[in-house]
Amino acid sequence: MSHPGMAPVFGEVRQIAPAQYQGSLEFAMPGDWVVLIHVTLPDGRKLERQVSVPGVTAN
Amino acid sequence: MQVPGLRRLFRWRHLRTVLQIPLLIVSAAMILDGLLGPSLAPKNLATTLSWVHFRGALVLVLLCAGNFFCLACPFMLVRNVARRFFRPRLNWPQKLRNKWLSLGLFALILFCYEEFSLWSSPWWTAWLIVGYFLTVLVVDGVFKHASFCKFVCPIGQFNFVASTISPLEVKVRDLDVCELCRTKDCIRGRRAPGSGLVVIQRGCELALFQPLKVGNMDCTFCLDCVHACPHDNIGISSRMPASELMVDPRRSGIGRFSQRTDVAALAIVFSFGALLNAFGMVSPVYALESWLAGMMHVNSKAPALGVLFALFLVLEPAVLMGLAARLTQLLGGSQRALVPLAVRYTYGLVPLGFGMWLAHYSFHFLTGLYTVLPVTQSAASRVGWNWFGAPRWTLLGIPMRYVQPLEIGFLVLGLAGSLLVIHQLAESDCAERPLRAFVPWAAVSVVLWMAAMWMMFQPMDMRGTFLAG
Repeated sequence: MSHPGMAPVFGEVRQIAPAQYQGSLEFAMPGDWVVLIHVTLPDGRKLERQVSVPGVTAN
Repeated sequence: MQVPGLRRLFRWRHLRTVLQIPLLIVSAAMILDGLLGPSLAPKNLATTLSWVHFRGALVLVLLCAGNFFCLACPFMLVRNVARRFFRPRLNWPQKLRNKWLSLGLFALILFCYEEFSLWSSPWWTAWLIVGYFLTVLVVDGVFKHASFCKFVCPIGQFNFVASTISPLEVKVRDLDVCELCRTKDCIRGRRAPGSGLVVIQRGCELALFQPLKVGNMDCTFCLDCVHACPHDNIGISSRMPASELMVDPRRSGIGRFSQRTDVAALAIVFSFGALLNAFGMVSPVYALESWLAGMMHVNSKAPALGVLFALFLVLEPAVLMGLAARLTQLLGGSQRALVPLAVRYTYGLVPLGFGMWLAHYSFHFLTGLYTVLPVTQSAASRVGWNWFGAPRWTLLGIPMRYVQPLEIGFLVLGLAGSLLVIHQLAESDCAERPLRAFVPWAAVSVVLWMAAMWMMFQPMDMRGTFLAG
């Protein structure tokens, strides 16, 4: 959530093909979300990527 | 303060500075992290501390004690240090000696909060804090006394209005002692022995003469009067919350509430702004903003938001208060003119407004209570202090199922307080038919309370991009 103090949601991804990963997240509320992707490479290096998901609305 | 230990503590001359120094350090950390730290708000000290912890702690301290955040204000510490090097020469302009400027700034901050989605921007939040420090230095660098606190500071005005509900106030212990007092140091300041000019302890900078001071309005709890009084006759006392809203005496430094249209307007922005600020975080606001933007054929947020603010902070209060005042004239037989009547009863809405601020801010504070830990750990690790360990981002706060009943309790408490104040005003206004004067204003309170309750059960929606979908 873009607002501090709000509950984050967590999810894991699994490999479905070489270099392709799939997972699901259930956003707990409408609003602007930011997905943080934490990656650990085989050699132990760590990466972090940030993807904005603005304007999530309720079903 | 009659509690052993606390009396000595509050009489300690350096108490304020000791409270201000940690807050100044925290402010500096917030500015640095806001400008140089992560851009994601939940990971940044500036946004987390400003919009979750500071606001929540502020309203809870106001509810349980008093205006202690003004006492510990870090801006005043910087100002006091600056005043060692330059002395202000001018008095605050006569035409600006009212609340219009500060209530305009208060409304502007509420507007900017929505327009720039301040909660999601560490950078803007940091600049807001920097802007505050600079404004304090400029205003109090040019103008004498506590001009910034009394006539400019929007946070201070919020605290002044909210502290009318607080259970503690700074007041005289024994008025008979004041009648015999020759020096009036509480307002003039204590002079050095043998010198009529050198002030060794300043008196009240906000022009509140203690023997005639009523309640907490305009009182920053700075305790200058406590330290200046040569008779140890001023202290922090308990009282019935909101009792100062039920009476209308001439107040030192303020006058009568019923004759202060600007203070009443501040109370309106405080009360209706509470609902507007909470409305900004639920889903229906985006549908309304999108509809307004469509009606106006605009693609930017500001015009729709401007209309929303005009509706909630001007039109809605004008219609509701105007109707209630007219009905009070017709039913209660009040002899007052329409505007003075509306001004008088406006203060009755303050407890309800405070209940709404409490419900809103304590929700964020309590549900995000522990988020300060991983955010601080993360900030510390960025400057190489890793002794706090790895941040645990799963730390949150008190579960919503416990917080929501508390929110409802705050709103019910706010409504009860408003009804009590309005009833007292109606009794002193229309002694023969108090119920008839009470009913229109009670109806306004109930309507606002129902709107607040409706908002509490709306799905939360924190978006800065309502036009995106």
